Amino acid sequence: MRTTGRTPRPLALACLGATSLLAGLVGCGDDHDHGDDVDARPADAAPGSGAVTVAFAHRVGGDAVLMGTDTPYLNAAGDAFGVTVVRYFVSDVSLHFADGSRWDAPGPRYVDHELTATLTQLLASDVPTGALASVSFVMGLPPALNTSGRFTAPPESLMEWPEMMGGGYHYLKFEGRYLNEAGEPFPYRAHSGGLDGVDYSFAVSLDASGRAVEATGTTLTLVMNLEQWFTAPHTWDLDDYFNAAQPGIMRNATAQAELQANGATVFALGAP
Amino acid sequence: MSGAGPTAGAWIGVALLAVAACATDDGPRSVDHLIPRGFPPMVVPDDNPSTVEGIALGRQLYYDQRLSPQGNRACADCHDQARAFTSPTAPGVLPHINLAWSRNFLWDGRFEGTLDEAMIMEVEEFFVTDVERLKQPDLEAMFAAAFGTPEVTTHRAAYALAQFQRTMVSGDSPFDRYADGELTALGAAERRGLELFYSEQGECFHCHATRLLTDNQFHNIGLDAAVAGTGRGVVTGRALDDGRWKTPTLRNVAMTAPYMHDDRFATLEQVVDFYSDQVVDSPTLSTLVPVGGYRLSADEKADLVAFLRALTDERFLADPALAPPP
Repeated sequence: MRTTGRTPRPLALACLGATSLLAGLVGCGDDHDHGDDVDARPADAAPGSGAVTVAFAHRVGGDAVLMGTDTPYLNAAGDAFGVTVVRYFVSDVSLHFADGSRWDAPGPRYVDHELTATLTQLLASDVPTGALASVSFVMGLPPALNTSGRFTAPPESLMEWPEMMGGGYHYLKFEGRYLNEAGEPFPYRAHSGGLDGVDYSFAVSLDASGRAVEATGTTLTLVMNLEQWFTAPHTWDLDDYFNAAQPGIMRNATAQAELQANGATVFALGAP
Repeated sequence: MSGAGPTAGAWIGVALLAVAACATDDGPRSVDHLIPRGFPPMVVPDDNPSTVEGIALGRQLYYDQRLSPQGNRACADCHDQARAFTSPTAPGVLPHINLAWSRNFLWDGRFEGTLDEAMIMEVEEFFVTDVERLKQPDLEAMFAAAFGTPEVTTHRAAYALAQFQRTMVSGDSPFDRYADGELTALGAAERRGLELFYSEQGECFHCHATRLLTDNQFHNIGLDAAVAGTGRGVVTGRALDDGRWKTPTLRNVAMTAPYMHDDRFATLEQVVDFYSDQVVDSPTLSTLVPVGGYRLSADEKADLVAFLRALTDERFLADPALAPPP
Protein backbone atom coordinates (compact mmCIF):
# COMPACT_ATOMS: atom_id res chain seq x y z
CA MET A 1 0.00 0.00 0.00
CA ARG A 2 1.40 3.32 -1.01
CA THR A 3 1.25 6.12 1.50
CA THR A 4 1.88 9.82 1.11
CA GLY A 5 4.95 9.49 3.27
CA ARG A 6 6.92 7.62 0.66
CA THR A 7 5.85 8.92 -2.65
CA PRO A 8 8.62 8.11 -5.10
CA ARG A 9 10.49 11.14 -6.33
CA PRO A 10 13.73 11.74 -8.18
CA LEU A 11 16.66 11.38 -5.85
CA ALA A 12 18.40 14.36 -7.38
CA LEU A 13 15.45 16.55 -6.61
CA ALA A 14 15.42 15.27 -3.07
CA CYS A 15 19.08 16.17 -2.69
CA LEU A 16 18.59 19.65 -4.03
CA GLY A 17 15.74 20.16 -1.67
CA ALA A 18 17.85 19.08 1.23
CA THR A 19 20.70 21.30 0.18
CA SER A 20 18.68 24.42 -0.11
CA LEU A 21 16.33 23.97 2.77
CA LEU A 22 18.46 22.30 5.29
CA ALA A 23 21.90 23.79 4.92
CA GLY A 24 23.28 24.40 8.33
CA LEU A 25 20.88 22.09 10.03
CA VAL A 26 22.53 18.82 9.20
CA GLY A 27 24.30 17.04 11.94
CA CYS A 28 24.58 13.87 13.82
CA GLY A 29 21.52 12.42 15.32
CA ASP A 30 19.06 15.15 14.62
CA ASP A 31 15.89 14.66 12.74
CA HIS A 32 15.87 17.88 10.79
CA ASP A 33 17.17 16.42 7.59
CA HIS A 34 14.79 13.62 6.88
CA GLY A 35 12.51 13.70 3.97
CA ASP A 36 8.90 14.26 3.22
CA ASP A 37 8.02 17.14 5.48
CA VAL A 38 8.10 15.12 8.62
CA ASP A 39 9.26 16.76 11.79
CA ALA A 40 8.10 14.49 14.53
CA ARG A 41 5.58 11.80 14.93
CA PRO A 42 2.45 13.38 16.35
CA ALA A 43 0.79 11.77 19.30
CA ASP A 44 -2.11 10.75 17.14
CA ALA A 45 0.02 9.56 14.23
CA ALA A 46 -1.60 7.06 11.98
CA PRO A 47 -0.69 3.47 12.73
CA GLY A 48 0.78 3.20 9.26
CA SER A 49 4.06 4.75 10.25
CA GLY A 50 6.90 4.12 12.64
CA ALA A 51 10.26 5.43 13.71
CA VAL A 52 13.34 4.26 11.85
CA THR A 53 16.74 4.47 13.45
CA VAL A 54 20.07 3.67 11.86
CA ALA A 55 22.71 2.18 14.12
CA PHE A 56 26.29 2.29 12.89
CA ALA A 57 28.54 -0.63 13.80
CA HIS A 58 32.22 -1.08 13.03
CA ARG A 59 33.68 -4.55 12.86
CA VAL A 60 36.82 -6.40 11.98
CA GLY A 61 36.52 -10.04 11.02
CA GLY A 62 32.91 -10.00 12.08
CA ASP A 63 33.57 -8.80 15.62
CA ALA A 64 33.13 -5.34 17.09
CA VAL A 65 36.35 -3.42 16.58
CA LEU A 66 38.60 -2.89 19.59
CA MET A 67 40.21 0.51 19.28
CA GLY A 68 43.81 1.12 20.23
CA THR A 69 47.38 1.50 19.09
CA ASP A 70 48.03 -2.26 19.31
CA THR A 71 47.92 -4.31 16.11
CA PRO A 72 45.65 -7.27 16.82
CA TYR A 73 44.17 -7.77 13.35
CA LEU A 74 45.44 -9.15 10.06
CA ASN A 75 44.46 -7.76 6.69
CA ALA A 76 44.26 -9.73 3.47
CA ALA A 77 47.87 -8.95 2.65
CA GLY A 78 49.01 -10.27 6.01
CA ASP A 79 49.69 -6.93 7.67
CA ALA A 80 49.03 -6.81 11.39
CA PHE A 81 47.00 -3.71 12.09
CA GLY A 82 44.91 -1.94 14.70
CA VAL A 83 42.31 0.79 14.61
CA THR A 84 42.33 4.15 16.38
CA VAL A 85 39.96 6.32 14.36
CA VAL A 86 36.78 5.63 12.38
CA ARG A 87 35.00 8.76 11.18
CA TYR A 88 32.96 9.21 8.03
CA PHE A 89 29.96 10.67 6.33
CA VAL A 90 27.08 8.79 4.80
CA SER A 91 24.57 10.76 2.78
CA ASP A 92 21.15 10.50 1.25
CA VAL A 93 19.86 7.40 2.95
CA SER A 94 16.88 5.92 1.13
CA LEU A 95 14.58 3.08 2.04
CA HIS A 96 13.30 1.10 -0.93
CA PHE A 97 10.07 -0.75 -0.27
CA ALA A 98 9.00 -4.05 -1.68
CA ASP A 99 6.08 -2.32 -3.40
CA GLY A 100 8.48 -0.25 -5.47
CA SER A 101 8.15 3.00 -3.58
CA ARG A 102 10.95 4.84 -1.86
CA TRP A 103 11.37 7.00 1.23
CA ASP A 104 14.28 9.42 1.34
CA ALA A 105 16.30 10.88 4.18
CA PRO A 106 18.43 13.32 2.23
CA GLY A 107 21.50 15.05 3.52
CA PRO A 108 24.74 14.06 5.20
CA ARG A 109 25.19 12.17 8.43
CA TYR A 110 28.41 12.17 10.39
CA VAL A 111 29.58 9.08 12.22
CA ASP A 112 32.45 8.83 14.70
CA HIS A 113 33.13 5.59 16.50
CA GLU A 114 34.25 7.58 19.53
CA LEU A 115 31.14 9.76 19.68
CA THR A 116 28.35 7.60 20.96
CA ALA A 117 25.71 10.12 19.93
CA THR A 118 26.61 9.62 16.29
CA LEU A 119 26.29 5.84 16.39
CA THR A 120 22.52 5.80 16.60
CA GLN A 121 20.69 8.26 14.40
CA LEU A 122 16.98 8.68 13.94
CA LEU A 123 16.00 8.87 10.29
CA ALA A 124 12.46 9.94 11.10
CA SER A 125 9.71 9.26 13.57
CA ASP A 126 7.01 8.45 11.08
CA VAL A 127 8.33 6.52 8.17
CA PRO A 128 5.55 4.65 6.43
CA THR A 129 5.39 1.02 7.39
CA GLY A 130 5.91 -1.78 4.94
CA ALA A 131 8.21 -4.51 3.72
CA LEU A 132 11.63 -3.35 2.61
CA ALA A 133 13.56 -4.41 -0.44
CA SER A 134 16.81 -2.50 0.06
CA VAL A 135 18.56 0.36 1.76
CA SER A 136 20.75 2.72 -0.19
CA PHE A 137 23.04 5.60 0.67
CA VAL A 138 26.13 7.40 -0.48
CA MET A 139 29.41 6.67 1.29
CA GLY A 140 30.91 10.13 1.72
CA LEU A 141 29.46 13.34 0.40
CA PRO A 142 28.16 13.61 -3.14
CA PRO A 143 29.49 16.69 -4.96
CA ALA A 144 26.38 18.74 -4.24
CA LEU A 145 26.98 18.31 -0.52
CA ASN A 146 30.78 18.43 -0.57
CA THR A 147 31.23 22.16 -0.52
CA SER A 148 33.74 23.95 1.67
CA GLY A 149 32.12 25.85 4.50
CA ARG A 150 29.04 23.64 4.66
CA PHE A 151 29.93 22.61 8.19
CA THR A 152 30.87 25.43 10.50
CA ALA A 153 31.02 23.57 13.78
CA PRO A 154 32.90 20.55 15.03
CA PRO A 155 32.92 17.62 14.75
CA GLU A 156 31.83 17.81 11.13
CA SER A 157 33.94 20.89 10.38
CA LEU A 158 37.06 19.01 11.46
CA MET A 159 36.58 16.70 8.48
CA GLU A 160 37.66 19.52 6.17
CA TRP A 161 39.74 18.55 3.15
CA PRO A 162 42.46 21.06 2.20
CA GLU A 163 41.49 23.55 -0.46
CA MET A 164 44.70 22.86 -2.32
CA MET A 165 43.53 19.27 -2.74
CA GLY A 166 40.14 20.34 -3.94
CA GLY A 167 38.38 21.42 -0.78
CA GLY A 168 35.26 20.04 0.79
CA TYR A 169 35.52 17.36 3.43
CA HIS A 170 37.04 14.01 4.18
CA TYR A 171 34.59 11.25 3.39
CA LEU A 172 36.45 8.80 5.57
CA LYS A 173 39.10 8.88 8.26
CA PHE A 174 40.08 5.31 9.03
CA GLU A 175 43.32 5.27 11.00
CA GLY A 176 45.46 3.03 13.09
CA ARG A 177 48.87 1.48 13.18
CA TYR A 178 50.26 -1.51 11.35
CA LEU A 179 53.50 -3.43 11.58
CA ASN A 180 55.60 -2.51 8.60
CA GLU A 181 58.13 -4.66 6.79
CA ALA A 182 60.65 -3.90 9.49
CA GLY A 183 58.20 -5.12 12.09
CA GLU A 184 57.80 -1.64 13.51
CA PRO A 185 54.48 0.08 14.18
CA PHE A 186 53.73 2.72 11.57
CA PRO A 187 50.58 4.79 11.24
CA TYR A 188 48.18 4.28 8.39
CA ARG A 189 45.59 6.89 7.51
CA ALA A 190 43.01 5.70 5.03
CA HIS A 191 41.55 9.11 4.33
CA SER A 192 39.26 9.53 1.36
CA GLY A 193 37.69 12.58 -0.20
CA GLY A 194 37.24 14.41 -3.44
CA LEU A 195 40.68 15.03 -4.90
CA ASP A 196 41.33 17.82 -7.37
CA GLY A 197 37.78 17.85 -8.62
CA VAL A 198 37.37 14.08 -8.87
CA ASP A 199 34.66 12.70 -6.62
CA TYR A 200 35.37 9.41 -4.86
CA SER A 201 32.13 9.05 -2.98
CA PHE A 202 30.12 6.04 -4.04
CA ALA A 203 26.62 4.65 -3.88
CA VAL A 204 25.87 1.63 -1.72
CA SER A 205 22.77 -0.53 -1.94
CA LEU A 206 22.16 -3.27 0.59
CA ASP A 207 19.58 -6.04 0.32
CA ALA A 208 16.93 -5.56 2.97
CA SER A 209 14.47 -8.23 1.91
CA GLY A 210 12.83 -9.87 4.86
CA ARG A 211 12.90 -6.64 6.85
CA ALA A 212 10.18 -4.10 7.27
CA VAL A 213 9.44 -0.74 8.75
CA GLU A 214 7.27 -1.53 11.73
CA ALA A 215 4.81 0.75 13.48
CA THR A 216 6.51 -0.15 16.74
CA GLY A 217 9.84 1.15 15.53
CA THR A 218 12.66 -0.22 13.44
CA THR A 219 16.41 -0.18 13.80
CA LEU A 220 18.61 -0.85 10.80
CA THR A 221 22.20 -1.64 11.71
CA LEU A 222 24.65 -0.42 9.11
CA VAL A 223 27.84 -2.43 9.51
CA MET A 224 31.20 -1.20 8.24
CA ASN A 225 33.52 -4.18 7.95
CA LEU A 226 36.76 -2.31 8.32
CA GLU A 227 39.19 -4.88 6.97
CA GLN A 228 37.32 -4.82 3.68
CA TRP A 229 38.74 -1.40 2.88
CA PHE A 230 42.04 -3.24 2.34
CA THR A 231 40.76 -6.45 0.77
CA ALA A 232 39.32 -6.56 -2.72
CA PRO A 233 39.56 -5.97 -5.57
CA HIS A 234 42.71 -4.13 -4.46
CA THR A 235 44.54 -6.01 -1.74
CA TRP A 236 46.53 -3.44 0.14
CA ASP A 237 49.94 -4.20 1.53
CA LEU A 238 49.99 -1.21 3.82
CA ASP A 239 53.74 -0.75 3.34
CA ASP A 240 52.99 0.29 -0.22
CA TYR A 241 50.65 3.07 0.83
CA PHE A 242 51.90 4.31 4.17
CA ASN A 243 55.62 4.68 4.63
CA ALA A 244 58.20 7.27 5.52
CA ALA A 245 58.40 8.57 1.97
CA GLN A 246 54.63 8.66 1.47
CA PRO A 247 52.90 8.78 4.83
CA GLY A 248 49.38 9.25 3.48
CA ILE A 249 47.12 8.81 0.49
CA MET A 250 45.17 12.03 0.35
CA ARG A 251 47.20 13.16 -2.65
CA ASN A 252 47.19 9.68 -4.22
CA ALA A 253 44.46 9.48 -6.86
CA THR A 254 45.14 5.80 -7.48
CA ALA A 255 44.71 4.98 -3.82
CA GLN A 256 41.54 7.06 -3.68
CA ALA A 257 40.09 5.12 -6.59
CA GLU A 258 41.12 1.83 -5.01
CA LEU A 259 39.48 2.69 -1.71
CA GLN A 260 36.36 3.61 -3.62
CA ALA A 261 36.40 0.26 -5.38
CA ASN A 262 37.14 -1.70 -2.22
CA GLY A 263 34.24 0.08 -0.57
CA ALA A 264 31.82 -2.05 -2.55
CA THR A 265 32.20 -4.88 -0.03
CA VAL A 266 32.67 -2.84 3.12
CA PHE A 267 29.05 -2.38 4.16
CA ALA A 268 26.39 -4.82 5.22
CA LEU A 269 23.12 -4.70 7.09
CA GLY A 270 23.37 -6.22 10.52
CA ALA A 271 21.05 -8.96 11.71
CA PRO A 272 17.52 -7.73 12.43
CA MET B 1 42.91 28.21 -0.37
CA SER B 2 44.15 28.22 -3.89
CA GLY B 3 40.59 28.11 -5.00
CA ALA B 4 39.84 31.48 -3.54
CA GLY B 5 39.86 34.27 -6.01
CA PRO B 6 40.97 37.81 -5.24
CA THR B 7 38.52 39.12 -2.75
CA ALA B 8 40.00 42.31 -1.49
CA GLY B 9 36.60 43.78 -1.07
CA ALA B 10 35.22 40.69 0.54
CA TRP B 11 37.47 40.73 3.54
CA ILE B 12 35.23 41.97 6.24
CA GLY B 13 38.05 43.05 8.39
CA VAL B 14 39.49 41.54 11.22
CA ALA B 15 37.76 43.84 12.85
CA LEU B 16 36.34 42.97 15.70
CA LEU B 17 33.46 45.12 16.35
CA ALA B 18 30.94 47.22 14.65
CA VAL B 19 29.26 49.33 17.19
CA ALA B 20 25.62 49.45 16.50
CA ALA B 21 24.34 52.98 16.57
CA CYS B 22 21.38 52.13 18.65
CA ALA B 23 22.46 53.74 21.82
CA THR B 24 19.83 55.02 24.11
CA ASP B 25 20.11 57.18 27.16
CA ASP B 26 19.15 54.46 29.53
CA GLY B 27 20.90 51.27 28.58
CA PRO B 28 24.04 49.64 27.28
CA ARG B 29 24.62 49.87 23.57
CA SER B 30 24.59 46.59 21.67
CA VAL B 31 27.53 45.48 19.58
CA ASP B 32 27.74 43.18 16.60
CA HIS B 33 30.85 41.05 16.31
CA LEU B 34 32.30 40.96 12.85
CA ILE B 35 34.41 37.90 12.36
CA PRO B 36 37.13 37.12 9.86
CA ARG B 37 36.29 35.48 6.61
CA GLY B 38 36.24 31.70 6.88
CA PHE B 39 35.75 31.63 10.63
CA PRO B 40 32.83 29.76 12.15
CA PRO B 41 29.90 31.81 13.37
CA MET B 42 30.41 33.21 16.84
CA VAL B 43 27.88 32.14 19.38
CA VAL B 44 26.97 34.95 21.76
CA PRO B 45 24.81 33.73 24.63
CA ASP B 46 21.43 35.33 25.06
CA ASP B 47 22.12 36.03 28.71
CA ASN B 48 25.33 37.92 27.98
CA PRO B 49 24.92 40.00 24.85
CA SER B 50 27.88 42.12 23.86
CA THR B 51 27.64 45.79 24.63
CA VAL B 52 29.99 48.73 24.36
CA GLU B 53 29.85 49.20 28.10
CA GLY B 54 30.20 45.52 28.95
CA ILE B 55 33.26 45.18 26.75
CA ALA B 56 34.74 48.31 28.29
CA LEU B 57 34.25 46.87 31.76
CA GLY B 58 35.76 43.55 30.70
CA ARG B 59 38.75 45.33 29.26
CA GLN B 60 39.18 47.31 32.46
CA LEU B 61 39.00 44.18 34.59
CA TYR B 62 41.40 42.29 32.31
CA TYR B 63 44.06 44.85 33.10
CA ASP B 64 42.98 45.63 36.67
CA GLN B 65 44.84 44.05 39.58
CA ARG B 66 41.86 44.66 41.83
CA LEU B 67 40.52 41.44 40.31
CA SER B 68 42.79 39.53 42.72
CA PRO B 69 42.08 39.47 46.46
CA GLN B 70 45.47 40.96 47.25
CA GLY B 71 45.14 43.55 44.50
CA ASN B 72 48.37 42.50 42.92
CA ARG B 73 47.49 40.40 39.90
CA ALA B 74 45.53 40.92 36.70
CA CYS B 75 44.84 38.73 33.68
CA ALA B 76 47.18 40.86 31.62
CA ASP B 77 50.09 40.13 33.94
CA CYS B 78 50.40 36.72 32.30
CA HIS B 79 48.72 37.61 29.02
CA ASP B 80 50.69 40.28 27.21
CA GLN B 81 49.13 41.65 24.03
CA ALA B 82 52.50 42.03 22.35
CA ARG B 83 52.97 38.30 22.86
CA ALA B 84 49.53 37.39 21.60
CA PHE B 85 48.23 37.46 25.15
CA THR B 86 50.63 34.91 26.50
CA SER B 87 53.77 35.12 28.59
CA PRO B 88 57.41 34.23 28.00
CA THR B 89 57.93 33.50 31.68
CA ALA B 90 54.70 32.33 33.32
CA PRO B 91 54.53 28.54 32.93
CA GLY B 92 52.14 26.80 30.58
CA VAL B 93 50.19 29.87 29.54
CA LEU B 94 47.96 29.38 26.52
CA PRO B 95 47.34 32.49 24.44
CA HIS B 96 44.05 34.31 24.67
CA ILE B 97 43.22 34.13 21.00
CA ASN B 98 39.82 33.31 19.52
CA LEU B 99 38.60 31.74 22.75
CA ALA B 100 35.05 32.58 21.73
CA TRP B 101 35.17 29.39 19.68
CA SER B 102 36.57 27.15 22.39
CA ARG B 103 34.52 24.87 24.56
CA ASN B 104 37.37 23.50 26.63
CA PHE B 105 40.11 25.42 28.34
CA LEU B 106 43.64 24.88 29.63
CA TRP B 107 46.12 22.34 28.29
CA ASP B 108 44.31 19.32 29.68
CA GLY B 109 40.84 20.72 29.11
CA ARG B 110 40.05 20.48 32.77
CA PHE B 111 37.43 23.13 32.33
CA GLU B 112 34.70 22.47 29.80
CA GLY B 113 31.91 24.88 29.03
CA THR B 114 31.24 28.18 27.39
CA LEU B 115 33.60 31.12 27.49
CA ASP B 116 31.26 32.80 29.93
CA GLU B 117 31.37 29.79 32.22
CA ALA B 118 35.14 29.68 31.88
CA MET B 119 35.38 33.29 32.96
CA ILE B 120 33.22 32.55 36.01
CA MET B 121 35.73 29.85 36.88
CA GLU B 122 38.59 32.27 36.35
CA VAL B 123 37.08 34.93 38.56
CA GLU B 124 35.70 32.73 41.31
CA GLU B 125 38.22 29.88 41.42
CA PHE B 126 41.46 31.11 39.87
CA PHE B 127 41.51 34.70 41.09
CA VAL B 128 39.06 34.12 43.96
CA THR B 129 38.02 37.69 43.44
CA ASP B 130 36.87 39.66 46.45
CA VAL B 131 33.93 41.71 45.22
CA GLU B 132 34.45 44.21 48.04
CA ARG B 133 37.71 45.17 46.37
CA LEU B 134 35.79 45.92 43.17
CA LYS B 135 33.25 48.13 44.92
CA GLN B 136 34.94 51.38 44.14
CA PRO B 137 33.32 54.32 42.43
CA ASP B 138 35.09 54.00 39.12
CA LEU B 139 34.23 50.33 38.73
CA GLU B 140 30.74 50.68 40.16
CA ALA B 141 30.01 53.24 37.50
CA MET B 142 31.24 50.87 34.83
CA PHE B 143 29.18 47.97 36.23
CA ALA B 144 26.14 50.24 36.20
CA ALA B 145 26.77 51.26 32.64
CA ALA B 146 27.30 47.66 31.56
CA PHE B 147 24.47 45.98 33.39
CA GLY B 148 22.03 48.72 34.18
CA THR B 149 22.51 48.73 37.93
CA PRO B 150 25.66 49.32 39.99
CA GLU B 151 25.55 45.93 41.64
CA VAL B 152 29.04 44.38 41.65
CA THR B 153 29.18 40.60 41.53
CA THR B 154 31.76 38.05 40.48
CA HIS B 155 29.25 36.76 37.96
CA ARG B 156 28.97 40.17 36.33
CA ALA B 157 32.73 40.58 36.35
CA ALA B 158 33.10 37.24 34.61
CA TYR B 159 30.48 38.07 32.02
CA ALA B 160 32.19 41.37 31.26
CA LEU B 161 35.49 39.54 30.84
CA ALA B 162 33.79 37.12 28.47
CA GLN B 163 32.46 40.02 26.44
CA PHE B 164 35.95 41.45 26.16
CA GLN B 165 37.40 38.04 25.29
CA ARG B 166 34.94 37.80 22.42
CA THR B 167 36.63 40.84 20.92
CA MET B 168 40.06 39.18 21.07
CA VAL B 169 39.78 37.80 17.57
CA SER B 170 42.82 37.21 15.43
CA GLY B 171 42.37 36.46 11.76
CA ASP B 172 44.35 38.97 9.73
CA SER B 173 47.72 37.42 9.07
CA PRO B 174 49.56 37.22 5.76
CA PHE B 175 48.25 33.65 5.57
CA ASP B 176 44.69 34.93 5.76
CA ARG B 177 45.26 37.54 3.11
CA TYR B 178 46.80 34.90 0.84
CA ALA B 179 43.93 32.53 1.49
CA ASP B 180 41.52 35.27 0.58
CA GLY B 181 43.18 35.88 -2.74
CA GLU B 182 46.02 38.31 -2.12
CA LEU B 183 48.59 36.08 -3.73
CA THR B 184 51.54 38.33 -2.94
CA ALA B 185 50.85 38.15 0.78
CA LEU B 186 53.15 35.16 1.13
CA GLY B 187 56.70 34.88 -0.14
CA ALA B 188 58.14 31.82 -1.86
CA ALA B 189 59.39 30.11 1.28
CA GLU B 190 56.13 30.82 3.07
CA ARG B 191 54.16 29.34 0.19
CA ARG B 192 56.31 26.23 0.21
CA GLY B 193 55.74 26.04 3.94
CA LEU B 194 52.01 26.36 3.42
CA GLU B 195 52.08 23.49 0.93
CA LEU B 196 53.93 21.39 3.49
CA PHE B 197 51.54 22.42 6.26
CA TYR B 198 48.57 21.20 4.23
CA SER B 199 50.22 17.97 3.10
CA GLU B 200 50.59 14.62 4.79
CA GLN B 201 54.35 15.05 4.62
CA GLY B 202 54.09 17.92 7.07
CA GLU B 203 50.84 16.75 8.61
CA CYS B 204 49.93 19.89 10.49
CA PHE B 205 46.43 20.54 9.22
CA HIS B 206 44.53 17.62 10.67
CA CYS B 207 44.99 19.00 14.20
CA HIS B 208 45.64 22.66 13.47
CA ALA B 209 42.40 22.62 11.57
CA THR B 210 39.99 25.12 10.10
CA ARG B 211 40.72 28.82 9.96
CA LEU B 212 41.02 28.77 13.73
CA LEU B 213 44.14 26.62 13.23
CA THR B 214 43.12 24.33 16.05
CA ASP B 215 40.69 21.48 16.39
CA ASN B 216 40.30 22.30 20.11
CA GLN B 217 40.85 18.61 20.78
CA PHE B 218 43.51 16.59 22.56
CA HIS B 219 46.38 14.60 21.08
CA ASN B 220 49.50 12.76 22.13
CA ILE B 221 52.09 14.01 19.67
CA GLY B 222 54.96 11.91 20.96
CA LEU B 223 56.76 14.21 23.34
CA ASP B 224 57.36 11.55 25.99
CA ALA B 225 57.54 7.78 26.24
CA ALA B 226 56.00 7.72 29.71
CA VAL B 227 52.53 9.18 29.51
CA ALA B 228 50.59 7.39 32.25
CA GLY B 229 48.83 9.85 34.48
CA THR B 230 49.50 12.87 32.33
CA GLY B 231 47.52 15.19 30.13
CA ARG B 232 43.88 14.75 29.34
CA GLY B 233 43.89 11.39 31.08
CA VAL B 234 44.15 13.11 34.43
CA VAL B 235 40.85 14.83 33.72
CA THR B 236 38.93 11.95 32.19
CA GLY B 237 40.47 9.09 34.13
CA ARG B 238 40.78 7.16 30.89
CA ALA B 239 44.12 5.61 30.03
CA LEU B 240 43.54 6.28 26.35
CA ASP B 241 43.70 10.01 27.11
CA ASP B 242 47.07 9.83 28.84
CA GLY B 243 49.63 12.08 27.24
CA ARG B 244 47.06 13.97 25.24
CA TRP B 245 47.18 17.74 25.42
CA LYS B 246 45.05 20.41 23.83
CA THR B 247 45.93 21.56 20.34
CA PRO B 248 46.88 25.23 20.66
CA THR B 249 45.98 27.60 17.88
CA LEU B 250 48.93 28.45 15.67
CA ARG B 251 47.75 31.99 15.15
CA ASN B 252 50.55 34.35 16.19
CA VAL B 253 52.60 31.30 17.12
CA ALA B 254 55.84 33.17 16.43
CA MET B 255 54.93 35.39 19.39
CA THR B 256 53.93 32.72 21.89
CA ALA B 257 57.21 31.04 22.85
CA PRO B 258 57.97 28.93 24.76
CA TYR B 259 56.08 25.99 23.31
CA MET B 260 54.25 22.84 24.43
CA HIS B 261 52.36 22.32 27.67
CA ASP B 262 55.56 22.34 29.67
CA ASP B 263 57.32 25.08 27.73
CA ARG B 264 60.08 22.68 26.73
CA PHE B 265 60.87 24.30 23.41
CA ALA B 266 62.14 27.86 23.22
CA THR B 267 61.92 28.38 19.47
CA LEU B 268 59.82 27.39 16.50
CA GLU B 269 62.89 25.75 15.03
CA GLN B 270 63.06 23.44 18.03
CA VAL B 271 59.40 22.61 17.63
CA VAL B 272 59.83 21.70 13.99
CA ASP B 273 62.95 19.69 14.80
CA PHE B 274 60.89 17.75 17.31
CA TYR B 275 58.16 16.92 14.81
CA SER B 276 60.75 16.01 12.22
CA ASP B 277 63.14 13.87 14.19
CA GLN B 278 62.24 13.36 17.85
CA VAL B 279 58.75 11.82 18.11
CA VAL B 280 58.77 8.97 20.60
CA ASP B 281 56.35 6.08 20.90
CA SER B 282 53.86 5.59 23.71
CA PRO B 283 50.60 3.70 24.14
CA THR B 284 48.43 6.63 23.12
CA LEU B 285 50.55 8.16 20.38
CA SER B 286 48.38 9.78 17.72
CA THR B 287 48.23 7.94 14.44
CA LEU B 288 48.82 11.26 12.77
CA VAL B 289 52.40 11.14 14.03
CA PRO B 290 54.97 8.54 12.98
CA VAL B 291 57.41 7.27 15.53
CA GLY B 292 60.64 9.11 14.90
CA GLY B 293 59.00 12.01 13.14
CA TYR B 294 58.15 13.34 9.71
CA ARG B 295 61.78 13.36 8.55
CA LEU B 296 61.78 16.80 7.03
CA SER B 297 64.77 18.16 5.19
CA ALA B 298 66.56 21.27 6.39
CA ASP B 299 64.93 23.26 3.60
CA GLU B 300 61.49 21.93 4.47
CA LYS B 301 61.98 22.82 8.11
CA ALA B 302 62.98 26.35 7.15
CA ASP B 303 59.97 26.69 4.87
CA LEU B 304 57.63 25.46 7.54
CA VAL B 305 59.00 27.92 10.07
CA ALA B 306 58.66 30.70 7.51
CA PHE B 307 55.01 29.80 7.06
CA LEU B 308 54.42 29.67 10.81
CA ARG B 309 55.82 33.17 11.08
CA ALA B 310 53.32 34.24 8.43
CA LEU B 311 50.54 33.47 10.89
CA THR B 312 51.35 36.62 12.83
CA ASP B 313 48.51 39.11 12.94
CA GLU B 314 50.18 42.46 13.50
CA ARG B 315 46.89 44.25 13.72
CA PHE B 316 45.78 42.03 16.59
CA LEU B 317 49.05 42.50 18.44
CA ALA B 318 48.75 46.27 18.25
CA ASP B 319 44.99 46.75 18.29
CA PRO B 320 44.38 49.71 20.60
CA ALA B 321 40.95 48.34 21.48
CA LEU B 322 42.67 45.41 23.15
CA ALA B 323 45.36 47.44 24.87
CA PRO B 324 45.23 48.65 28.48
CA PRO B 325 42.42 51.14 28.92
CA PRO B 326 43.42 54.75 29.03
